[in-house]
This record gives sequence, C-alpha cells and structure tokens, in this order.
Amino acid sequence: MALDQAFRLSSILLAATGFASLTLAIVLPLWLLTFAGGAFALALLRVNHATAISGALQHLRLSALTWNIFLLLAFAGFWIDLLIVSQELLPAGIHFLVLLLVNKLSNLDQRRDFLHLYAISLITLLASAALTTQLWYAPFFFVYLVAGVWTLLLYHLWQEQEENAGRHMTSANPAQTRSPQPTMTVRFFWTTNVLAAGAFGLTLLFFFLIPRIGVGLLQNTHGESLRTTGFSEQVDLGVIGPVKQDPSIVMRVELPDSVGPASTRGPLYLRGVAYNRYNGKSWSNSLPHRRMLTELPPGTFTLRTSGAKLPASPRGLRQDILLEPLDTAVLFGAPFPSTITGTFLSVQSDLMGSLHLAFPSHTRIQYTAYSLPTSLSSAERTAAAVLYPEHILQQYLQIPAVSSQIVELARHVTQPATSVFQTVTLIQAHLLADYRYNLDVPSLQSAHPLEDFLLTRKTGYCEHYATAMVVLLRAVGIPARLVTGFLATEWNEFGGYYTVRQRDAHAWVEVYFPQSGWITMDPTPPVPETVGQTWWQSMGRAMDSVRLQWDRLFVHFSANDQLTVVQGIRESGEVVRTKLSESLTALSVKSSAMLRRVLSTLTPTGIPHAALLFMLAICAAYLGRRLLRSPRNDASQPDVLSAHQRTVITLYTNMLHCLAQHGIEKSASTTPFELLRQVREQWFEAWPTADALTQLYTHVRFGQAPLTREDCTIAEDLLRRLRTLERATPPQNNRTL
Amino acid sequence: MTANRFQTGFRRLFRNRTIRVTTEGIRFLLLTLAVGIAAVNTGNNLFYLLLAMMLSLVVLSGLLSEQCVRRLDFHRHLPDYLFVNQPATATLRITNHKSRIPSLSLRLFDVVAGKDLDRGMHLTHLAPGASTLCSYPLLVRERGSYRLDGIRVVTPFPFGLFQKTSFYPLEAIVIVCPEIIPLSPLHFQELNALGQEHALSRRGPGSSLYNLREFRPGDDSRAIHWMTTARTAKLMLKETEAEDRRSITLAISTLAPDEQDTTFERALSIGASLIDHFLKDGYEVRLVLGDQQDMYACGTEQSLHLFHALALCTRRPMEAGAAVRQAMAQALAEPQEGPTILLSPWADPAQSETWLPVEYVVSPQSHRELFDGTRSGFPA
Repeated sequence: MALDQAFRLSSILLAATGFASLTLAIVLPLWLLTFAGGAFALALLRVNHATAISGALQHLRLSALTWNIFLLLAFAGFWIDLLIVSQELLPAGIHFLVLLLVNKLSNLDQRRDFLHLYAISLITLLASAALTTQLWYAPFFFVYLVAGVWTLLLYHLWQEQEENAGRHMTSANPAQTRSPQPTMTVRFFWTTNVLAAGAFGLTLLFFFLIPRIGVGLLQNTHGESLRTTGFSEQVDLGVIGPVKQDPSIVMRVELPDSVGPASTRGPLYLRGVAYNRYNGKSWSNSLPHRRMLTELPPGTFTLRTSGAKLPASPRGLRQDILLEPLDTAVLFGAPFPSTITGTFLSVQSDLMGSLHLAFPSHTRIQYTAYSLPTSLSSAERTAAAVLYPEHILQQYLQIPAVSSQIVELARHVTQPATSVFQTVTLIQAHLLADYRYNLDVPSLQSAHPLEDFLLTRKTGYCEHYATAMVVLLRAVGIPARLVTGFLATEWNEFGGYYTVRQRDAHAWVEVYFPQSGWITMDPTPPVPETVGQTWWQSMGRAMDSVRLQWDRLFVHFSANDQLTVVQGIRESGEVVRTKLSESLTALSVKSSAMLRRVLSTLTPTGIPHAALLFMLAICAAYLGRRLLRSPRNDASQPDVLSAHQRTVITLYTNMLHCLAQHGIEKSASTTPFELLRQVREQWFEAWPTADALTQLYTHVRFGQAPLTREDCTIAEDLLRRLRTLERATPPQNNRTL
Repeated sequence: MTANRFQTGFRRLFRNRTIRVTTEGIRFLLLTLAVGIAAVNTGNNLFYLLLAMMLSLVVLSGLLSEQCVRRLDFHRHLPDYLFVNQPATATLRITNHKSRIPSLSLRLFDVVAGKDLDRGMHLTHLAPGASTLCSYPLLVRERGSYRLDGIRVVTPFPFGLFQKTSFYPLEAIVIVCPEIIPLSPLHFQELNALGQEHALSRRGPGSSLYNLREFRPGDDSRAIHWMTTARTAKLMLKETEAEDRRSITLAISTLAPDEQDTTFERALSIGASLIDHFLKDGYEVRLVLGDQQDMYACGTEQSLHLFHALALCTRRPMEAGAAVRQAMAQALAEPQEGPTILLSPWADPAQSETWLPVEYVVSPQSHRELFDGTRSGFPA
C-alpha cells in the first residue's frame, strides 16, 4: 500500500474510533449520525478510489465559502441547542463537535486539516470518557492508541516525503542522498505494531504511576443509580416480585478467606434491612433510631452493643463487596455484619443490626464486611421453653389483625413440637412442603395478601413465605422478624466472586433465641433452576469478570490502591533483601571456610597467606578487567558486514584458489587490481569474469557497499563460470618446468 | 563525591544531546496539559488513561529518537585545498553501528564555528550495520583555514513532535586559497612577453625527448612511445622538452592599512590568478610574499605550495612597513631569472623611496578595474 493511502486510511480510522466511542456513550440524533456516517463514507471513497471517482467527488465538493457558512450555521446551532433544545453544555458541545468532524472529513487536503482532525478525534474520545465508565470503552481506547501510533508515524513520514519532494523540486542540483523511501511492507507493519504495543505498555505504566490528586472542581458526582425495592422504611408485601426478573447487577461479592472448589459454594445471604412491624399489608421498622459506628482505626467501622468492648480482631467471614450505585443507603453483608472497612465518612446502624450510610452513594463503592454468623446452641435446640427478655417480646411479637384461621393453622402445625426449635422447624417445613413458589401473584392489589397466601392461593414468593413464617411464629409466641436482602447464588468461576443481581432480591426470617441470638431461617423453597449451563452463560460470566477487573483496575483505581501497591513492593523488597542477605552470609561463610582449607593445604609449601591472597586478588582483578573490556572492544569494532557481503568475500577467496590452481597466484603485496592485470595478461578468457567478481569484492571490502541477494547470485554464477573455463596457455608453473 | 560523579556521568551522557519541540509537538503538549488538568479536576480515571497515553507517546518519541541518533560513525573526505567561491565536493560516510535498530529520518548538518550549516543531507533510512555516502558541494567565501567542528544529527522520528539533536565531533581543517579570478587574455601577451629570453630545460611541449615514463590514466595517448612499449610490454609515454622556458617573479606586498583589508584580499586573489596563469603557461614562478615567504614553483603540480602560502599569509600592519620593505628588497636583490611583477595592494608612499628591481607593477592605482572587481583584466 502506498504511504499516502495508508496515512489517510489510518487518519480516518483514528477519527472513526473516537466517533464510534462517542456514539456509544451518548445518543446522537439520527440526522447527525447519518451526516457523520456519510462524511466518513465519502472520505473512505476518496482514499480507496481516488482516481476512479475523483471526477464525481470533485462535483460533490463544496467550496470553502460554503463550508465557512456551514461552520457559522453550526456555531449558531450550538447556541440554539445550548439555550433552547438540550439546554446542557455537554450534549450541545458534542453535537457541534460532530459537525466540526464532518467539516474536517470533507476537507482533508492540507497538513493542518489532518492535525485538526486528530485534535477533534481526541476530544471525542475525551467526551466519551466523561460520559461512560463501561467496559466497552477499553477496546475503543486500545484501537485508538494503536491507530494513533500508526497515524502519527505515517504523518511524520508523509510530511517528510512531501518536504523531500519540495526540496527536489526547488533544488536544481540537490545533494541529498537518494535513499529509498519507506514503503508499507510487512516488516513496517509489524514494527509499527510493536511500537504501538510498547506505547500501550508505557500507557499502563504511567496510568498506574500518575499520582491521583482529585481536586474535584468539575467532578460530576451525580450518576444514575439503580432503583431497588425492599429496603425503604416501609415495604409493601409483594414489592419484591416485580424485580425478580431483573438481571441488573447490584453487587459483586468476593470471599477472599474462603477456600475450596467452586462447586461446594452454597448460596450466600446478604442481609440488608430487618423489619419488625407488620400491619397486614406492609412491613415497617418501629426501631428507626440509628447510631454511629465506632471508627477505629480510621476507615474501620465496628458495631458493638452498648457496654460491650471492641472486639480484639474483627475476624469472621470476610466479604469484599463492590456495590453498584443504588438508590438506597443500606450496606449489605452476610449475617451478621460486625465490622465494615471502607472509605466512608460514617456508617450507621439501627437497633436491628442493619447498616446504613449517611446518604445513598451515586458512584460504585467498595467495602469489606466482616460477619459473625450465629448458630443455635445445643441447649436451646432441645429446650422445651425459653425465657425471652421483655424488650424482645415487646418488639417482635406484634401480629396484625389477621384471621383466626391463621392462628389456628399455627397451632395446628406446631402441635407435635416438643421444643421451641422444633416449633420453628415445623412451621418452616410446613411452608416448604405445602406451598408452591410462584412469582405470578398480584399481592399488591390484594386486601389480605397473607390470608390469600396461607389459606386460599397457597402460592407465592419469598416475601409471602417469610411473612407467613414470622406471623405463624409470633402466633405461637416465638419472637421473629423479617429480613430483606439478597440471596447470592451465581458464582463466577472466572473472577472468583458472587454476582448478585436484582432478581436475587430475597426475604427471609430471623428467629430469636435468648442465648444464641438471632438465627436465620429461610422458609422459601428453592427456585427450580434451568439445568445445565450454556456457553453464552459462561461467556457472560467471563465478561462480567473482565468488567469487574476493568472497574477495579481502571475506573476505580485510586490513591489508596497506589499506596497499597507501594506498601506491597516495599514489603516484598524487604523479604527479598532479607533472603539475599541470608544467602550472601551463607555463601561467604562457605567460601571463607573453603579458602581456609585451601590455605591450610598450601601452607606446607611455604607460601605465606598474605602473599597468596595478594596473588589471588591480582588474578581476580585481571580477570575482572578482561571481562569488563571484552564487550567494549567488541562494541568498538562491530562487524558491519552483512551476510551477503561475507558471501561475496568468500566467493572472491574461492576465485583466488581457482586462479592459483591455474598458476596465477596472488602474493600478499599484490592488490586486487594488480592481480586482475596479471589475469588479463596470462589468462585473458578468465579476465571478464575475474574483473566482475573483483569489482563486486572491492565494493564490498573497501566501499562497504550494501549488496542484494541478486548480487550474491551473480557472484556465484561468475565463480561457477570461472571454474568451467579451461586455460589455453599452460600455467606458469608448468612453463617454468 | 557520589553526586559529583553522577553529575559528571550525566553531563558526559547528555552533553551532545538537545531536544527541540516542533510546532506539532507544542500543540500536542498543550493538549496533554489540558487533558491532565481535566483529569486532576474531575478525578476521572479514564481521563488519566488518556493522559497516560499521551505521556507514553512523548516518552516513546524520546526513546526512539535517541536510538536513531546514537552509535553512528562519520568519516568525512575533503579535498586538500579549496579555493574561495569555487565549489568542491565533500563526501561524508555514515555508518550505523547498531546491530538491530535502523536510524531513520536523519538530517545532517556541518558544524562550522558553532553554527549548523545545512548541506541538504537527508537520510530517510539507514539499516542496522549499514553505511552510506553523502556528497555535497562545499563553497567557502573566505581565505585561510576552514575549520569544521563536527556533524550535527537531527531527527524528528518517530512522530515529528520533537527534534532530537546529537553532535558528533569530527574536526577537519581545510586550507582555502584565494579566489582565482578570470584575467583578460589581451594582457597575457604582454605578460608572456616578459622573460622570453630565460629558457630552462624542463618538461613541456616541444619536439626533443625529455623523458620516458609509464603511461598513466589521463595521459595523451598520442604521446605513447610504441617502440619502448613493445620492448617492455608496458605502455610507455614519451615526454618532450619544452622549447620555451621562462621564469617570472611575483612579489606581493603584504603591507596594507586596516581599512585596505578588502583590497589586500583582492590583491591576493589577483596574485593567485597570476600564479595560476603563469604556471599553466609553463613558467617557473618565484613568489616573494612580503617578509613571510619566498618560494619557487614549476608546473601546476607544485602550484599548491604557492597557493598554500597565499591562503595563510597575513596582512602586516603599517608599523612593520620598514621590515617588510627591507625583506622584499633583499629578496628581490638576489640574482634571478626573468622579470619581476610587483603586486601592491595599496599605494605605499614609502615604497617609492625603496628601490625594487621590478619590471611591472600591479596596484589599485594602475589596475583600478581589476581591484574593483567590476571588470576582469588589465587596463589597456
């Protein structure tokens, strides 16, 4: 491909990459998309079929005056867009930018037009970066970088070619060396790609090294949050149902301390909010008072009950959670979160152990939760009756005015129970066995949704099951509460984390035991899953894993991450230094012992130790000097002859052998041309061949001329021809004989 | 101590390197600055990514341009003598000693007295381990020693954002002789008439045999002596003895006041032109150059000695007038063959008091047009 064509193509590709990323980041009007697409198509046609349709394109081209009027109109349109249509600076500016792009694509003639095009393409990519943080930006950025390296390199070569052409035209007797122009060869292609790869590596290096100083003067903190249900102050029964089909990702949860194969990982409950009041249609929290969690050390918020000491170490189940921007301030964690680590101003907790931020975050947040799971004590597992504290009985035994049939049902179900825990399990078993999971339940329209579920319809989903269990438990005098959160079941084997989606929203029950505390119980039967995993599901999980890495490493890379990396390097450096020091010490001990043995063996010969050491030192210094000097000497006298040139020299040596066989020997003082004269005088038939070979040899040997493969082939042919020649006159040796 | 060593090493490494930002580079850096400000202000990591990309291009430019200009070797071939305003060809051999990396987009400048002179040398590509030759015209405007300091290599590779410059010391000194100006042929006859009676045995056009020697390229093939050639099996050339053998003495006064410096240079040019003319015409020329040189030359092969003396001769101040005049008088008082031409750059009032045995005087007063340079040749 010609240099000019490659340069124009790469320039258009660069602009197209920036424009494509912009179209993905913001919805552009259709007319603008069509307009820009047409401009790209015309620009490509001009590059690829310049000669064929140049006439037609010449007719289509508008004059400079027309384009100036177009730009003025576009500028006026920008103000109209800003003040009347979109009333926002960013969309209006982007529309104007696209019009500028169209203008430049249609007038790519001079050097400055290309420079303007590059600047516009960079601004489009910048605007795209301002509008999105999605994973698709990464491939566009990579393509832009590669195209950028190609374009800048080709721009430079194109500029140089033009300057050379101009110099040749202006100079009547130019002194420039006629060196060949670089062409778009395969080698050039790969070399440029290697350069692009190097630029990419440097980009990553700089990205991680540039200190993050977020002044935040123009920072846009108002992103679009995901709407969730089930975590407000009051939750209507049945609100979770509609979101059970929503695949939007809410959070990703890693369990760094959990080991074992992926197949052994069961579902993970992520507790959100607990409710204790049910009015027959909705749940609410009658204990809304919140208190601030103790922050010690900075960034670590610990939940402690009044009068209790801080735990010595916040250990338990550790979860690293990346939470998407939600419209709720609730922090999630496995039951029961005791410590939260993250960059928060404050963390609050209500009296039921639910954790909240001061306000919902509009950006992704990452935090670590440590949870202390509770288990039922063996005493309470078999206790026929337990004594509940008064405040528990006050808060967690409330029952709305429900049908007496429900109370009767509770008694009926729990009749065979011999212990409190068995009462609980009987109710759970009843719900699991006698009711069917179904999302198609119009609970929000029902006046008595619980009665409908328990007595009439007997189908429902998690909220119905959990509400029913809480009410049945309370009906038999066992304190219980409803908890909403997420049930994480989707394990991503590529990234090693749970993917939690909106459809994983769940409700379950916590039952109180005085000694053991709140015990999690889930009466909802498991949802029948589709058997087998399709390849696109695996692909989707792989992509999600990549997306998570993108978010972590690039979108949310922060000064804290940099500090962590620095600390990690420092710690590993200390480890390496310690190990090295230990190794060196061991080595020095071994070598000194060996030296002592050597010296002791030499002592009888009468050589004093000091003299021997001195000699060894001199030898070591000499060897060291030799070692240091040898590469320098090699570098100072580089072998500048190429393989072809060495071949020709070898062929000339063979020619000398051949001539010697015919009695024409070259002495050390004879120059190649003197030898040639001898050949001419003594063996005229061989002279043209020898002359040609000698000319090649002298060019290589003394002129350092570069040779081609054809030259080598010619030289081989010449030598072959020389060998086939028979000397008519007898050789000198024979004559003298 | 360590800091000093570091500074010394740093200077040694970078003393011959400079970087200049091109117009495109300035625009690129301004854009980078803008992206950097946007990144810092917003804290958007994707802006930081773009900033890192632009910085990486800057660094890549520096690294690649350094590879282009390093480990080059230069060898310059210059003529032994140059003449003012007479172009000569200089040749520069450039070798790339890098084993794997080519040098690209190189512009080469001659560095003379600290200034870069563009000779139009431009190398688009120099393969690893390869060498190439660049020839360029060399034109010097002043007489004397022409000193070349070295070669400056400039490359805007790879992106044209910066120009990396490297200086390779390559000192060379060329002797620049005075300009040979065309003289009017009308007056050659007058000059040729001087010294006709002084003939010496020497090589030249004639019929008598002077010498036999081996044929050399450039010799006239009509002068081959075929009998000797047949006998010795080598091409032999017959040289004849010149029939007219003439001698001439050219005395150039180096005495001139400061304001007559231009005229002095012109006088040297006229002297060089006369020497060139007489030597080509077969004269044996004696040059008396003030109190500085007194030498003979016979034939064009020996002319370089005289031109060398003219190239390096210096104007003497008026304070040294007596010494110069006395030295010239002594030199010219010696017995000599042929006439004497005195070339005086200015009308020396004391010169008339000193008797000099000269037959012909060339001075600004007598040959005004010649000294003015408006018209070549002697006045009628």
